[in-house]
Amino acid sequence: MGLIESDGFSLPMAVQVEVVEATLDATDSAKEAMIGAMGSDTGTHVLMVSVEAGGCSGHMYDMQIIERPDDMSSFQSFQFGDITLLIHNKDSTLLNGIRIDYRDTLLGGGFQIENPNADKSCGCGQSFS
Amino acid sequence: MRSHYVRSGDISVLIGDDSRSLLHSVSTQHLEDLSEGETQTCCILDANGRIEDRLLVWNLGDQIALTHMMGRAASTRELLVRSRSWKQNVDVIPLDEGFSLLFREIEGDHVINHVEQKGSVHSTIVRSLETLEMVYLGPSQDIEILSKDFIEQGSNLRDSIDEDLYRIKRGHLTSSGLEQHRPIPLEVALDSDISFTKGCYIGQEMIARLDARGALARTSVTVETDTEIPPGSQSLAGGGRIIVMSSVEGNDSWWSACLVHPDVAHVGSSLHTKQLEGTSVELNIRNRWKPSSD
Repeated sequence: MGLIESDGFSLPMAVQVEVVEATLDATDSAKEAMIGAMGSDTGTHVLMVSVEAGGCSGHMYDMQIIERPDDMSSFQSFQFGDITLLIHNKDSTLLNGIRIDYRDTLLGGGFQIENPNADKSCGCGQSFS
Repeated sequence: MRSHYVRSGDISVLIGDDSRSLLHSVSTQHLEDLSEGETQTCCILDANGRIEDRLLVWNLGDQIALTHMMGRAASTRELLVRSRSWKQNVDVIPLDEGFSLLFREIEGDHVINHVEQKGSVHSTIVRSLETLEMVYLGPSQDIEILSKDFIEQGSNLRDSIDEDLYRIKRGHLTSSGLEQHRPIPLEVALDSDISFTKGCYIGQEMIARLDARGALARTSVTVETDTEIPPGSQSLAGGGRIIVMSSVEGNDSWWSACLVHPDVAHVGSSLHTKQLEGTSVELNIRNRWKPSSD
């Protein structure tokens, strides 16, 4: 049903992505919350912070606990005690210098990211540009 | 007499499992659930809720075709590529040559937003305000053959000026109008391009606020004048302003797509531009455009 065959047409568009050696910080409350979230999986799992499209400001943060990747060459790794936190090289410019905090409030609580690269961010704290 | 319009280029194809998800995250519509064989119109907005591009999205199964209705393919493609996460599997392929679109008004009851395929040409029926249109998408040589068939059946091929006049008379946003003024979709009755339940997207705050208040500062009207009125903002006699988005000469008069305050947007009434160097233009409001559900 597709419009184009698999070959013979224009190549996909690509953009040059800048990769920087990122720095990253976390507050004591964030570190405690990470330990609580990871439990006893710290040897086999990592916490990954990434950027996705969406939200009212264009980009959204995503945090996931995933199995430690076999190939770490595309990631930058940060150690907080037993906890390994990863960001992908392609997100390094947008996440460079972030500070992860944790707020224990009923509304709008959870992990919060302060990002010095964000020109503006949404009130929910999850979207930025 | 029936007429049709042919336009080439301004088509993109997205390939990859995350195509709908990526489109969903940057557009005004709920596209994550767009089924195979269905189409949907939507907008790409800026942070102030103003239209950057208007898309007709075709789910063709393993590919998603985008037809950039306002001729602003380049900026939308760049947005998509820059928004794509490293986790997403999506390729954005520009089709600026070799493929064309044909638009033809139809009458009667039809199933809208459903894709049909005949040979290499896909078609769908879309509703824009009071107009039902068959949109054909396919290789340029096949669209040209289709166009010749329609001409033989008595259809008139519109040129770009005829096309603007056709759109302005029906209250449709035109590319030239969008170049002059970037309206908010609700100002130009494009409510059907918006999902009010999908959650956040760029420009959503403005749309949600306007929707919640239920009061627009401007609404779109089609205006007929004896003389040309330049695009841009004009002062009205008696106060207020009119924004002329696009203007085209018809047979005996000029037709313009404009935005005015809803309080003065009465069909059949006349407005006058503020007298400047002894002249004032009489603006006859021929239509006021509201979403078809109103």
